[in-house]
Amino acid sequence: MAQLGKILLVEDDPHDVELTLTALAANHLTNEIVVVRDGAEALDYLYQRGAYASREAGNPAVILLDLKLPKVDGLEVLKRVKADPDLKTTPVVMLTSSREEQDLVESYNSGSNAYVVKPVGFGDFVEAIGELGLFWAVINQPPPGSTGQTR
Amino acid sequence: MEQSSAILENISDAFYAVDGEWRFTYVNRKAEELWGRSREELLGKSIWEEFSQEVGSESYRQIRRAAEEGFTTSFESMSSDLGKWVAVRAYPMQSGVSVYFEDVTERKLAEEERARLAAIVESSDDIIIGKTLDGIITSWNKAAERLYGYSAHEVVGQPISVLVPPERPDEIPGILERIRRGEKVDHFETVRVAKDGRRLDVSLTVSPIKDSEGNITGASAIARDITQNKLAEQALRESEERFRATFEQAAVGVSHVALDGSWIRVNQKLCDIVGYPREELLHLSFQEITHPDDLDQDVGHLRRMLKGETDTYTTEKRYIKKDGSLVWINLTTSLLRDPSREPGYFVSVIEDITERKWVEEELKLSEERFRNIVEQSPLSVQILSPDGRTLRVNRAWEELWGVTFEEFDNIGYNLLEDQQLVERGIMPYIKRGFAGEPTLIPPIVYDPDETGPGMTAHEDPRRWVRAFIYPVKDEVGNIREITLMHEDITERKLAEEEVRKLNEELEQRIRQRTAQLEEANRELESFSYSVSHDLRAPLRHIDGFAQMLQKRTASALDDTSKRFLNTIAESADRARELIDNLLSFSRLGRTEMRHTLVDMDHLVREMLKDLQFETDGRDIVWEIGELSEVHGDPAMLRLVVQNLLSNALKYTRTCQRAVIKVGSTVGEEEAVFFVRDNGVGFDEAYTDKLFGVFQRLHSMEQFEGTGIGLATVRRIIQRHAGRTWAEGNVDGGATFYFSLPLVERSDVGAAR
Repeated sequence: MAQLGKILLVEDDPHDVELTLTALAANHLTNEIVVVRDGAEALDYLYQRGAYASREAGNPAVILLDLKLPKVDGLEVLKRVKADPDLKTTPVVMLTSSREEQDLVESYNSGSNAYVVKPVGFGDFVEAIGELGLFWAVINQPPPGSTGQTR
Repeated sequence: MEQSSAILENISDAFYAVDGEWRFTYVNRKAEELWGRSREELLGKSIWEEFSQEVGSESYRQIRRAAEEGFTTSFESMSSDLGKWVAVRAYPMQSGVSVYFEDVTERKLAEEERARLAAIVESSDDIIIGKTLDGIITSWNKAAERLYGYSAHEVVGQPISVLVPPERPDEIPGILERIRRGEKVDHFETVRVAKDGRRLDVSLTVSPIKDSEGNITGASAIARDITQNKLAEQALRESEERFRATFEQAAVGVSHVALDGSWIRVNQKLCDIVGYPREELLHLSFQEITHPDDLDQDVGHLRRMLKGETDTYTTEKRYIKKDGSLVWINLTTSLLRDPSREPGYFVSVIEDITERKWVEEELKLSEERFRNIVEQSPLSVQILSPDGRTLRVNRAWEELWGVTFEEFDNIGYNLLEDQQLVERGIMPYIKRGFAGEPTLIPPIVYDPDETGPGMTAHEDPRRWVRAFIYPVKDEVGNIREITLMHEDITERKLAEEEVRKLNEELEQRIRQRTAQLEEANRELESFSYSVSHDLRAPLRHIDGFAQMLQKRTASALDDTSKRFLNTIAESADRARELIDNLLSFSRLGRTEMRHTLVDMDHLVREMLKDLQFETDGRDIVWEIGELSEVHGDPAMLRLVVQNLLSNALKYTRTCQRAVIKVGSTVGEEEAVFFVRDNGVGFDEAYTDKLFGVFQRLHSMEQFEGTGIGLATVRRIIQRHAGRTWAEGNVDGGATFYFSLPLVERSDVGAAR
């Protein structure tokens, strides 16, 4: 079995991280999950700098990006990713609590590949995380240069 | 000789004879008588010695001729010696002359008298005709010839009836009958026909002619041509008629007034003017109807006329009409004098000039009013001559420039030469005004200090003025004078400046306030966003961790613990719903509205389809009336309909059969929509609370809900400038109304 691509989870709230990880686990997704706590750290990871300067090369199969983040917020990260020729092909799923239309519009305008409002109900949440993890990290063919790309 | 002597002695004629030496040889008794001399005295004496007065007379010449030339002569002559007329016959003899003579003085005088009378008759201007008792003309004088055209020769011997018109056949017999009776016909006026057929008016006086014994032998008719008289009479009559007509029908009042002032004669117009019937007026005097204030001058005029100082006068005065009102009249009175120059009566012509007086007074009043208006006008008025000199100014002008007209007049100012006006660029406007065109002059600042010294009393003499120039023309269009009106708009200009500053300040403040509002709005949005994002996260965590706990401990927990965990999850879900509704409600106030024509009928029917899943299995009667089109935001109105229909469905849930009516009425300014149900209704006491946010009249156990639906409806309708209200009873159903203006209005609720 080919190695599954990494999932970069950008989420500042530890409860959400735990719930997301639980949901992914509950859906039997075995991809390696990298969790970063703010936008700046996410960018460090993506650009292999700072704490991530020595990480293994390659882009994640999907970025699950919370909208509201400390330091550099999710939209900013999204814009940077989509503006970067090396990163722009990496799928970015906006994962957020906000139902605000303007957030949704701005996210899509900035090139997000999907926009998911985190359901409040845990059952729904597990289901949603499972589906999007399955799609983006397993079913979807990641662009060239993604980590774990073996095909 | 003896015998012849006896004869000579007895003849009625006087006789004498003289010899060749003119000595008397015979003198008869009659001669003695006539001469008053005896024959003894005369015989043998020379005739021319005895009657020397006769020498050279007609008799002397005739007798001498008869003697010397030897033929008989007869003649009549006035004997100066006798002082009598004598008829003389002289017969020559062998020697001497025999002379017969008689006293014919009486006859001679009679003849003369007759000739004189005939001459009088002939030369008379009256027609004198003699006629027989049978009417045959016997004499015919020159006047008759002249009048009737017949000569005496033609008519003498003819019947007088040739002169009588055929229609009067009985006239002549009647006259002649009276003559026969010895009567005289005096001044009988009749008509006669002249030879040429003309009709003549004549006055006849016919008298009988009697002979020496007193027998009536004929008639003399004296006729006088009265045609001229008749014409004159007619002319007089016509003249009087004309006078009466003129008098009566004159457009002005005419009267004859006696010297004491009483009316002798008045015409109808005068009666009309003073409002009295004629009879009544004639019993009054002019003094009685003249206004007391006008009487003295009137009487004064009359007195001067009576004194002969003037013949006529004209005055204006007032009469008091019968009804007591006054009438202004123009009176012209003349004094008529009789032939001896004594005053006769007054003739007055009276003209009602009340209207003219009124017009005059109006004009005076109007002039007065105009003068006052100009004088009191807050507009400064300056009246100029066409060559630019100032003729008059009003008070406002003096106040405007702080100078009196007298002071200003001394400067010798000429508007057309004012350099300041040239510099300010308004001289062309002024020139246009002086050329005859009313012209509005744009506002300028005028500094009277430049015009001349002492021109102002103001602290800052400069004045903003706006002027209007108006040429005043006479009837033929020549410019008489120029009116220049200034308005001092200094205050206004300063006020405008003030307003402009204030406006700027205000705008500045509005900008600041707008910025503040925008900031507040941003903060609010940021807050909403935070609520949306950050408040949901913990809820999600509560639910998530509760569920995870449930999974991990499913077998170990008792039922109560499980129920607690459920309640935790349900509470989280309820909190989420509240947050979602609150967010969407707050969004309503901020979202921009779209305005289009909305087909409410279509909108409601679409909504019914969407609600189908909620109505499945229920007995619901929908009564949808005709719904009008309105202007509005389709998405928002959809939300309104959705909320109201959902409510109706929700609160009829307990009914066996729900009846839900939707309808609308259209008024002049708004359309009113309603949704009526037969559900549980509400207590009218709480109507106010119905539309409040989170206000609920039912418990969650009875009817679930967040209490945001009707608040949303009200917010949306308010933003459409409409109204919302409700009617209902407990268990009696409820009706919810909302109105929408028919005319599209601005978003009045935008700031809320």
